[in-house]
Amino acid sequence: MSMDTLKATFFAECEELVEAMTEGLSQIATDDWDSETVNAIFRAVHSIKGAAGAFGFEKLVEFAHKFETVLDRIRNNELAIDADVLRIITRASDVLAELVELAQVDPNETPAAYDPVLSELANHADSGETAASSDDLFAPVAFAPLALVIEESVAEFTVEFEPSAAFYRNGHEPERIFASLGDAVQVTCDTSRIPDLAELDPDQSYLAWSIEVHGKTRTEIEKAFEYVDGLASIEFIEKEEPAEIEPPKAVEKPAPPPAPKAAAPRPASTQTLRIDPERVDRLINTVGELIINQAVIAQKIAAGDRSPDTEVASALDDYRYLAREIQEAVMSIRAQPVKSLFQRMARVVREAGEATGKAVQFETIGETTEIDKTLIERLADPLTHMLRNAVDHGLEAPDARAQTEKPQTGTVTLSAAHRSGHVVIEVADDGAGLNRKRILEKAVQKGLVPSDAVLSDSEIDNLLFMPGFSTADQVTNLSGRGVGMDVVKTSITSIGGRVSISSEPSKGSVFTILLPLTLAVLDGIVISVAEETMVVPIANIMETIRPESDDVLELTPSNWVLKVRGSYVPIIPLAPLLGLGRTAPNTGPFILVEAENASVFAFAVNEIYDQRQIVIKSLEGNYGAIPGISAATILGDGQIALILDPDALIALAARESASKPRCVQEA
Amino acid sequence: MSAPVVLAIDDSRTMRQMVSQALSNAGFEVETAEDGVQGVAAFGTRRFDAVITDINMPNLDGFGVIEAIRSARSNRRVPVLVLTTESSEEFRAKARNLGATGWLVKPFDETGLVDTLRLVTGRN
Repeated sequence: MSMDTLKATFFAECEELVEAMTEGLSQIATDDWDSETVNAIFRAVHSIKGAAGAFGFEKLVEFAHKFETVLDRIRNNELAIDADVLRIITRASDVLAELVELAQVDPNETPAAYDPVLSELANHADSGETAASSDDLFAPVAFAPLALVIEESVAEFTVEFEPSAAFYRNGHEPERIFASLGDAVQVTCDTSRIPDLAELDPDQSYLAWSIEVHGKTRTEIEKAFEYVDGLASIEFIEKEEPAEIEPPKAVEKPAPPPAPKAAAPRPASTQTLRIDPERVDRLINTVGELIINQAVIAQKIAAGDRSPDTEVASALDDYRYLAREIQEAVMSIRAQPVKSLFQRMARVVREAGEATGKAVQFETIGETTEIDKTLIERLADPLTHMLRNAVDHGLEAPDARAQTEKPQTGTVTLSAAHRSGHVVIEVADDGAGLNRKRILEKAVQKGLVPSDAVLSDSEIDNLLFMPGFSTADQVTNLSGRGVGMDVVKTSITSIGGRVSISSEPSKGSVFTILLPLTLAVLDGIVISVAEETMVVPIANIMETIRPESDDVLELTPSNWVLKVRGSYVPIIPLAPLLGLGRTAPNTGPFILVEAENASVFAFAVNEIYDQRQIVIKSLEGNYGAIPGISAATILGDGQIALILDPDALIALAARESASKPRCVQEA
Repeated sequence: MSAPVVLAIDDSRTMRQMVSQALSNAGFEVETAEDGVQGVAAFGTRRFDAVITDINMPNLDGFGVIEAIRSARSNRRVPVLVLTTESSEEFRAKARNLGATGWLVKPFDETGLVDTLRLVTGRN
């Protein structure tokens, strides 16, 4: 069996179990819980422990076991949940969640809080009697196979075997036990105790056997009877030394452990189907091909000599419609609610609050918002960073906050929502807002902007995303680890998203991440640049313009602007920028795109065709990263078209113009 | 002879998968259930040659499963194995008193599981 597959299942399951655990803890924290809540947490921890043992994740097992012991005491009402206990189990759940994450990389790795939390758990686990005994139970049985091998000689044994009625009731069969002893067995059945038919009780046991075993060790024979110990009278008689007779086995102690109560029915869990992500990917790719195929047929028909047949046209419309339907359905398979991600972030905020000594309340909105699973995974790091920042830099220090009219406890809000074909994720804090004066000073000081630059508020805010920018005067070990917001921006951009910021003095800041719904398809406008067909993602496009000739103004030979409803927009001729020709077709048409810092540019292109949904084919995997190009696609006619990355193109254009001699601008 | 059919009841997906894989490799046919209630329900749907159940499960625990299965006289001959992290003698005694045929301690090793199943089902 494949260990990797099992591990994948295990980690996927752990994710759900951690979620269930976190959910339960938050119910306890809000005082909205009952005994089943604790049971559910216990079971989650217990399941993690059980399976972790199978993989030899000892640290995880050790921790989960201690945690479980404490939870067991809580559910047995031996330990009451007060503020202290709640704090410990909350921390323990954080550590456990982290252990699970670490185990995916290195199961021997432990988070810093491992030892302190483990010993706190131990303090609460040991004061009860059950804890001690359950410690014994768990036992290293788990890992070490019995190392001790005692040389045992084979001998001739006779086993006198007389099962009780319970033996049969428990699903045992004498013949199976005999069979497990191998062929060298001679069995004699004693039927003398069978009563007359009138007195025969079918639930009683009347038979006894005498089994002669050859060539087996005593241990081997005992093993065959292991499970029926207590359900039968078993006597071992060794032939060579007939004196040695096994004393009757001790009857087991009657004291049963506290039985886990049959739990109250919990809310029916949602029906789910587990699918290997690769299969979904394959499906998505195939559906992508289907859409391309539909485009090919449409184009063939359009190019055909025959006058368009209305029946064919309407059948083709149906085809397109169905292909879209299938595609949406397939996409939704990959969609997952952001809940688990948000729950993980609660931990980040809690830790950040502890580390900075700030009281933080974490609120989440839109946990059920669904986004592509791939995106969820890749959002974890940037969100972690942003939330740490929100607590560390966003919220005021406690004494500073005390001087405002705001509540003592700061609030950090994480929200997700669908908005016009995108997913919008916001990280908001109710702190002091960005200190624009300081940001600008810092940017000037670092040479990121010229000292005489006049920037809008939004432009200043966006300086935060520039590489090498760090606002904290003092680098805290929490969020100022040398990775700045530029790293956040890069990782968001790499998943096709954009991040922006807005801030209001003394009210707080909001970081907004705008993500595509999926990474597999996008809506784009097909254009041509110097006879090459390309695609501009529609997300970046504000509008397309075919201007009057006097709307295009030349400032210098390399600086042109487009007049759009009274304002001037810099023109970026795409052909020379992409190395496709020297002369710039500056007559348009133009595509107006919005850069990340909210400024607008006009891409000069040769032709604008139509808007289409296209299937993204990665270039990087097959070819390599090309600045300004994000990926490629296959169009209906089989032609390959590059998908442009407007933000990268704008940055590229800015670099190019900076390297050219600057001309004085004249009106 | 058709493959022996085993019902594996465990609330952990990982454990279900492990048991299924180990037993399928050894030629058993395996059905799984996610908790005691589902397990007992599944048990009623066809003839099983053996049952392996976890103890600590939501809705109905493994002890409840054993009791439910053994409550019908016709099921008394079906081997029911317990697969759990617990290994104390009290625990075994309780399982045995309720009618468990045998027990295995998690984490289990594949051979041990298969051998035990072969032992209690009498199938090779």
